[in-house]
Amino acid sequence: MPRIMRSRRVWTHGSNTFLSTLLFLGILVFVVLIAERHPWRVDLTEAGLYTLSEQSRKIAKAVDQPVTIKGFFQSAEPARLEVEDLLESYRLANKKIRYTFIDPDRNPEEAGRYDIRQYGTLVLEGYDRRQTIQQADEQSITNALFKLMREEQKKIYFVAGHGEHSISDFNQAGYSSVRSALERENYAVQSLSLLQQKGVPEDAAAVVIAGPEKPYFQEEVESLERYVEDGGRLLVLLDPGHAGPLVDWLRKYGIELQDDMVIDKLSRIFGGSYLMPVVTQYGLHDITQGFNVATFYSEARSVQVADPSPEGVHLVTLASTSPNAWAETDLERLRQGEASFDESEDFPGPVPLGVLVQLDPAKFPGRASSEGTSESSDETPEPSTGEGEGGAGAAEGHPAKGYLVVLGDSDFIGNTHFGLSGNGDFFLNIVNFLAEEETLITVEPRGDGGKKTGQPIVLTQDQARTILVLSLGLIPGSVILLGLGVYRVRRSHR
Amino acid sequence: MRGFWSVYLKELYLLFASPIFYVVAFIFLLLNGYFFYSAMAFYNSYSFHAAQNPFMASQLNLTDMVLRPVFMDLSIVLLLVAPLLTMRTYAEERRSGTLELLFTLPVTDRAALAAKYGAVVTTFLLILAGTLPCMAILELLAQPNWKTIFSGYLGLVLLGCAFLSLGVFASSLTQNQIVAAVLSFGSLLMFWIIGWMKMILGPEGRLADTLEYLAITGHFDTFSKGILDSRDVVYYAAFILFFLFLSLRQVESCRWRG
Repeated sequence: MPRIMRSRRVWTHGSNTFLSTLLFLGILVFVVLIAERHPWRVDLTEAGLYTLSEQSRKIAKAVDQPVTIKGFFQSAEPARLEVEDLLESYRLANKKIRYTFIDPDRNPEEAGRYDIRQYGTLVLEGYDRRQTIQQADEQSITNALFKLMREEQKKIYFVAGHGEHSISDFNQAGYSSVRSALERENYAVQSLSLLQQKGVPEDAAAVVIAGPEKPYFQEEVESLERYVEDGGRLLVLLDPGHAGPLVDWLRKYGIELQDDMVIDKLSRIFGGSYLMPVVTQYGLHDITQGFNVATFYSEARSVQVADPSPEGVHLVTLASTSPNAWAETDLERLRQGEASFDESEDFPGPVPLGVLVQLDPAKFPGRASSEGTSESSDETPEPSTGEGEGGAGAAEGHPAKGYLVVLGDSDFIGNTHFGLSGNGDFFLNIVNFLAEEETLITVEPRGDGGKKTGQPIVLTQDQARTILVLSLGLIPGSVILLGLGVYRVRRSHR
Repeated sequence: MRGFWSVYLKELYLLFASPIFYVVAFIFLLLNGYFFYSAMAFYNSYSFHAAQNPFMASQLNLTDMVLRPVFMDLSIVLLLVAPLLTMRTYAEERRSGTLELLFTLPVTDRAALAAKYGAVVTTFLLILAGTLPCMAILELLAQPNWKTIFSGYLGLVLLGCAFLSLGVFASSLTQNQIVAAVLSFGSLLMFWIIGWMKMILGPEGRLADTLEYLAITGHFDTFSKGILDSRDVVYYAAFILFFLFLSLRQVESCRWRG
């Protein structure tokens, strides 16, 4: 055959083959793209491990703007796979939700941009807002999505008028960092003068008293009292030396504020002064759950708890110093620089620095008890769960629980110290807890879904041996025997 | 599909007559036995500790702790084993010159390909069936979730069929069985690890997404977890069809290239 004809034939057939292959590939890509757009998925696990709960699905479906979830995990972290499964379920529920994983070690600048301090943090971005969650579980993600979508901005009021730290002050002692951090978390921050305004505004999600220098007037304290006992949420930061009606009022809830100063030998090791106690141990509460970063307080007073606590009040110590610290009462000697622990007068460590008061108006013998309409059941207060009460309870006619957090220092979140170790996060945790009212959406934890998961298998020696013999001996062995048999038969036929 | 059965039976006969099948099956089942036994041993000791620790007890999950690791391990073994099953399909015929004979017989190319592919799939299914006694043991000892076991097996079957289709194509490219085996193993490995590029390319971007989609591992993982996802089934179907199509074109080209 002439070479020309042959090459022409090859050329025709070859281009034919090439084109048909291209066409076929195109069809496949098309089919794949259609399939990607319309996924269909069945979860065959007993407990429905890979299926979102009804509430989560509803909320995920309601997302109508792009939401990006960034997971800050180390590349090889096993927890990442679980979170990926979970996030994939959200993505399946709504295409608008996208997720990516970022390794903070490989992308420190990205982690720095989002202020990531801990592996396993998720950042949700969308609706021009941002939500950060430390615990990557379904409940947190669903709640964060819900908060992203919520138009309403919660208001945090900072009381002004008595020399408190100002939220617009950029000086060292100012609270401008606090303000911007809160605004990043989608709060509206305003200052509030209780002298000009009667009572705390209705729309307050939480009120902060940040280190007043002058005492409050009785009318102001009464406004605050009304607010808290009607289910309000108040954060009080009081520096050493402050006295007056506010301190007396707090005594009503079992908070004893002495005129003292906390001295911590340990903080010297950290490079601070004796007057900068460090907290590394936190109480058991939602606020401090999983929180394991040290916080530093410059010149703090002790926040002691009355024993027994008043009726209708539940007290949780959120932060306390190490046993090496004490609360010095002889401030004169302290000024001369020769303070030492005096067993008879000083309060020994660990010194409580922050206390949460949970107020049940139905049981509290104060003003609200006369208004308390319904007798709530005899349940004991649970310190570690904050959900399901507050707003939800109020809707059913129960008086809402009031919350009050008292810290013995206000400088720890000033512009100088806000970024120091865990100070800012601790503050934000407190405000988030106070302002959130309750966990918005409670997602039932996946149970074992019946008998089939969570079943232990404890083998006897004989059973283990049987499995070994069967799986490693009998089955592969029979294949070899079969092979030998075939070989012999074939040989005899030859 | 004229001549399908005769080619199919001939192929099956050749496969069962050759020692390769028995060696491959032996190694596959031996490894399966080892994986299963060690997973059971781990689960056993975990159950023992869980008896004292309620948190651990809630973590006990037969699917996640026994079945998923075994399925994942088997998928890796398949990577090594599948090229051995397919390497001779066309390469052998090309070397011995019987491919031309096949062209002269009243068998269409398509039927011949279907028969050859069908035969290797059949042997693969037979080997896979050898792992079922282990599941029977599980049933005797506990109450495993058969739905997730089913999805794991479905995943393995789809994965195996995909591997075999690529193997058949590799075999049609060359006259040498070893070359065919190495070719298919290399390209399978490539498909296995291509998703890792995402780590280098960064999480976002169309190229990274495409490469991740092409990677075989991610699609198998959903099956082994106990999820049936239409997108993964479509992926495997497209994979299989594409390489069978390429094999067909390649075999045809043997005709006109002369």
